Amino acid sequence: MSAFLDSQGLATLGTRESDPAWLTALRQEASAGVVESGLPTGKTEAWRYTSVRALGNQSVAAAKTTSGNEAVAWATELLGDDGTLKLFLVNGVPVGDFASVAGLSVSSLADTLKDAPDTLQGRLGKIAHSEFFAGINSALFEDGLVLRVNAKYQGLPIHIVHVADGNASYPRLLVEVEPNGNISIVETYLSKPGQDDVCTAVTEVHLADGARLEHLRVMEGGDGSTHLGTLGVLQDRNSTYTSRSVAMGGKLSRLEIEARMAGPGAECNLDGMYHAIGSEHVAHHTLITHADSHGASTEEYRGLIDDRAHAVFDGIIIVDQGTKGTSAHQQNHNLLLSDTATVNTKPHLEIDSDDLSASHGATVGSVNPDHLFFLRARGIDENHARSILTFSFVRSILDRIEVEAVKERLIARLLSRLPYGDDIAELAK
Amino acid sequence: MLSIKNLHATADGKSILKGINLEVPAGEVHAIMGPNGSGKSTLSHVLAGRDGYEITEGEVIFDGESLLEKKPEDRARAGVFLAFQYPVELPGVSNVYFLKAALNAVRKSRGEDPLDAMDFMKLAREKAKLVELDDGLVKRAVNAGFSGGEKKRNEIFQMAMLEPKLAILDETDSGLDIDALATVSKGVNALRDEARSMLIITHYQRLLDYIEPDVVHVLVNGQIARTGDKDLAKELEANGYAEFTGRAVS
Ligand SMILES: Nc1ncnc2c1ncn2[C@@H]1O[C@H](COP(=O)(O)OP(=O)(O)OP(=O)(O)O)[C@@H](O)[C@H]1O
Ligand SMILES: [Mg+2]
Repeated sequence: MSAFLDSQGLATLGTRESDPAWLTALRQEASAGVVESGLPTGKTEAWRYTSVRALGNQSVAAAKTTSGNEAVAWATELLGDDGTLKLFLVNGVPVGDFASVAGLSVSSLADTLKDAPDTLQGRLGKIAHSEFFAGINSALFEDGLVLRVNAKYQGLPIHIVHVADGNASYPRLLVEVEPNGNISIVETYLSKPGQDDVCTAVTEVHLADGARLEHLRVMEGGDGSTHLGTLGVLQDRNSTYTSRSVAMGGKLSRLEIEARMAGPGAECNLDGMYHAIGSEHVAHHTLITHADSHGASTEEYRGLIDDRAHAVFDGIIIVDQGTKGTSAHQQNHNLLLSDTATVNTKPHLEIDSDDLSASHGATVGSVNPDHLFFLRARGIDENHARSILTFSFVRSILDRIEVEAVKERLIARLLSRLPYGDDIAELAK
Repeated sequence: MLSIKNLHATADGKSILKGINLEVPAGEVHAIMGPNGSGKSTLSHVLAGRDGYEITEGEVIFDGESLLEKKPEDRARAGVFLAFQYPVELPGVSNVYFLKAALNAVRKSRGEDPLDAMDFMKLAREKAKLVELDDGLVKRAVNAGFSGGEKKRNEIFQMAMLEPKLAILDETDSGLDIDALATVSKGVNALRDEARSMLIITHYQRLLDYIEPDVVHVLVNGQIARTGDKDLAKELEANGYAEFTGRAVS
């Protein structure tokens, strides 16, 4: 059985006869990078607080899906009818047929590589590249989804539901929003309960001039799940990208976002809400590069950390030399709900321009005793008061979610994980 | 209604209340005045049950029961209400949700049924009128982005909703403009009742022109230095606290 770092394993698994030459080159480069750098350790800054040592012996062989239907039925039941157009992938492989709608084309990555590989060249593997696990995915992915949206699309939000049903999966997604296209995409990563799975996911997004994408990405793994996600974003002139990352569940959930504002007047907003309990570990690493002028970026991550859980936030904003009129603001706020919870936060700006307004800040604290006293002094139980304050600490992030039914399900999930969450069902409405 | 006997309290090792004796019978309004730092807010916090104070001596009997062992929420349910000198802002928590939770907790402890949404809104609208609190503010997050005066009105609005037996108003007049002072005072006066006592902490005689106290106490350095009728407030307004602190006002 091949392990993550077995170069031979990577090479054999990663060779596909049908691949176009450019993809073979890409896969080889990715495998070589992975083998050379080795499994990240605490000596690498980005992995200082997140250990993946346990993966050393994990098999890289992708779980084989006999039929995805059962997993799809399970996920459908869990997610309910949320007013979206749902697309299912089980272990990274699309299940079912996709009807084409005006302005939107959906196709499987494997089919696209067979039928029209040229349309992927120069994008696939070129937007998200920096990270070890993105390299693993590039070497090993077999299938995935390609979404193209143009300005004619006025349909429902798209909900891409990833289900992990087995050991390892390598979901791959490419989203192209063409000039002035506008769409809302939800990606939910689920894993079937009672399994130890490793999902190494890569999503690449390209926004052409004037395009707009609202992108909610939910990590909702089971107790034994490891999620190692990479999200690459490339933005052209006057495009608006909004990422909302929600993490609730999973032994280890890590997301690395790399957004490049390559055209002038781009807007990039990265938000996040995480709730970690038990011994869960959740990490967000973000990198925004202002490569052109008049870009506006905002980042706001808010987290709740309970029990022995551990949260990491590591945000970098780079403002390139010679850019003008940049606005960049980054914030991370953490509420510790137990004495044994841990947070490591590192907001960071690297600025090579003097024409900008920028700020960054981070807080880590417990429930504000003045707030708690105020509620109790009005007759509200201590436990109830705590859950009011805990929920309201993160609700602003959840309230921004565009797709109403998805927002409601996530709020309900948060309440089900919060102590005394039932008490505040009405507050959450 | 409220009986404070020889109350001593410290915070962070600092002795703040140094033997307070105070009796507030049912239906009476007592004013507490005194220089900055004399312990007025501390007294109000100790009565409401805030953490961080150590009671080193003395006792407080409220409505026949010892108060100091009770949790803050139980004191509130028993009828103690503190209007805060500095009301907190709670973004993400709507006034309506918060007050409904508070009111229904208090009602439950009184053995009453919880109010449903409709009855609650009806009551809230009626009470908001009392202090001319805008309907929009009632629906917004608790004090978030409220002006200083709006926060104080919101405190009295909460008092009107919860109908306490003992209301402690800590500098409710500060931050109010002249018209708001009249409005809020009118609201407080409307809540005067023979079964309800009030402890009104203020620096200014002006408030007491509107809300006439039965008794005025002067709190200096953690002790009640003098007790008198409402004319005592006028005397303090004219002469300051020099007589009590030993410091002349230049
Ligand atoms: N937690 C604390 N630790 C140490 N000292 C404290 C604490 N709380 C209050 N004090 C001190 O106790 C004294 C009384 O404070 P308090 O707020 O009760 O005064 P006050 O009479 O309400 O004043 P003001 O008129 O300015 O509102 C002050 O000197 C204050 O600094
Ligand atoms: Mg005070």
